[in-house]
Amino acid sequence: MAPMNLIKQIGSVLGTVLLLLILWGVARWLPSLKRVIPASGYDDMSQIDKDETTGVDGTVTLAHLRHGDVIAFRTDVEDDENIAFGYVAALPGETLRISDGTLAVNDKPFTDTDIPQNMGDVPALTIPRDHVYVLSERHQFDSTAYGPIPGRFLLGRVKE
Amino acid sequence: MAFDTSKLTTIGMFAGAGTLFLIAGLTTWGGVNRFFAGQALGEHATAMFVGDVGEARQAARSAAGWLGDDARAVLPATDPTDLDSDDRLRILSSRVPGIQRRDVLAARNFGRAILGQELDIPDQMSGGDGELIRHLAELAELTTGSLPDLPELPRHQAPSIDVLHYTLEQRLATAWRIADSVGVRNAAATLLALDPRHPAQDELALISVTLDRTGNSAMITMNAKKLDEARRVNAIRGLISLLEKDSESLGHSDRDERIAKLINQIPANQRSGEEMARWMSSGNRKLEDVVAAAERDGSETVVIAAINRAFERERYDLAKKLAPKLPKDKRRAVELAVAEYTWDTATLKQLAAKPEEYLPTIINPSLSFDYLCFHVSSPSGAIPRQDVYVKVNGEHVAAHQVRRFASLIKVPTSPGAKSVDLEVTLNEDVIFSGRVER
Repeated sequence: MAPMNLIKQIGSVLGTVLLLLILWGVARWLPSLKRVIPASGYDDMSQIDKDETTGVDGTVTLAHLRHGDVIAFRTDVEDDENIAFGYVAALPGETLRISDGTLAVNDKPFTDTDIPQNMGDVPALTIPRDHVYVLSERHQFDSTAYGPIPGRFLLGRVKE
Repeated sequence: MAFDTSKLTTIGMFAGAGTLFLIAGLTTWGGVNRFFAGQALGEHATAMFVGDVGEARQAARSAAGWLGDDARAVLPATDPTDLDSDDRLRILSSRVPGIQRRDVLAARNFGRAILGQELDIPDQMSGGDGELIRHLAELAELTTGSLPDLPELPRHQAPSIDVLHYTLEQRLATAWRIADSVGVRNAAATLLALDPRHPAQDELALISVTLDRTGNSAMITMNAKKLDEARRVNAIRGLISLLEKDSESLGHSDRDERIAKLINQIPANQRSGEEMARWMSSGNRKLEDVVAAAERDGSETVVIAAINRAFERERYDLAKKLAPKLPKDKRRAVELAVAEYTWDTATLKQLAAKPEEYLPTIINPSLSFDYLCFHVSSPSGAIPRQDVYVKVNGEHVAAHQVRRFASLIKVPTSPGAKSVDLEVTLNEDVIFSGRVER
């Protein structure tokens, strides 16, 4: 009987440990919940064909972004349906200048899309941390209308 | 007393399991705290993004409640203008890891800067925020000169948006204080690029286009019209005052042109006397409109400006029409001037203490071989615009033979005449009658 009891005790302890490991795993997993967004209903980027399925890689963070990447981001409400798209023009810490209608980032012209015609010269703007400067075709929901977009609003990089 | 090996093993295992349970419990609790703090910080960011300050504050407090020893959760809940924050942040700076200490020190000094207190800038306060706070200290001491450039910020230690936002606002305020219009323009444009939905976005846009060398009047008008009347008038008066103080950045003509464009955007019923006078003397306004506006306004400055405009365009009738709007002494001076310029001798004799000081006279009559020259003007130099009737030797000289060059009048005479009798009539008054010899 003694060995049987020992096996039972070891089993209950291992079960407890397993349960705790599961709880620990859940706790580790909780803060990095990934978002999944629908792949239709976008109307800002003219080059995205609505008939095609457009995916968004939701694992991408600010640190993964490069100039010219097309990203999806929320606008100003907590609603997955309100999504805008744009090109990454400047990343945190980079300096943006606008002169004679041309935008330059760290003194290199950004040519993926134009800036609004009525936007005057901007001598030097450093993009704050956790933010990204985004430009889109129609400038309705991009950084020219909202300022640098917080990383919190980033949904991911568009998979073309 | 002998120990039961099995019981001992069981106790040991439960003790181990208890320890593991405790560790796992703490880890789980830490995860739960991080999760809810993260959620609250997310809500805080969202509320800030949509401009809901109350909601943002509540979410930040909630985050700080979940993670009280983490600068990332505590800082958003810290009101830098709260006097107690200084002590709290000083204590927090000693408890957080090095990488967070930089942010806590920056937040502490950020609060001191907002409260106008002396900054305590240790070497550890590096990074973008640190550089900006040092820049704030530099701005606070600036009283004259031009706005310094923003410091180069370290690429991998970008500043927080709050410190950057505040610094840009302070740059604008400083440039305004030292009357550096180029600095004001640049600071306004940068602030607007960072925060296009700034509460003063329309004022910033107006400042930016007005002070931009390439800005055109259509843009000034368009941006001014976006503001409601009270804010527009306020912004325009501020801009005019700035432009008047800084005469160097924009050339004089550019500056005056922009001031005129701005005054144009002040509703007529809100223009001060000086503004109305400037409005009248600027641009290519129809004189009748200017006079009508002056009649409506009735203030002395405005009426005088309109009268000056009428004199410039030789519309003495309109100047005379406005004269009754002035006090007695000024009215008399205007009527006298009108009479002088219109050679109204009857009025001159009636109004002037010494009419001869105003009455037209002939100056330097001289006879040549076949023509006679003389100048006609008042003692003060006013030149008559009316026809001058000339008689030579009692004969009327036809109008087409009387040639005028400003005040100089030239009439033909008999060739070789040694002397002639000259009579000059103006407004039915004979102003000269006598003999002129060679």
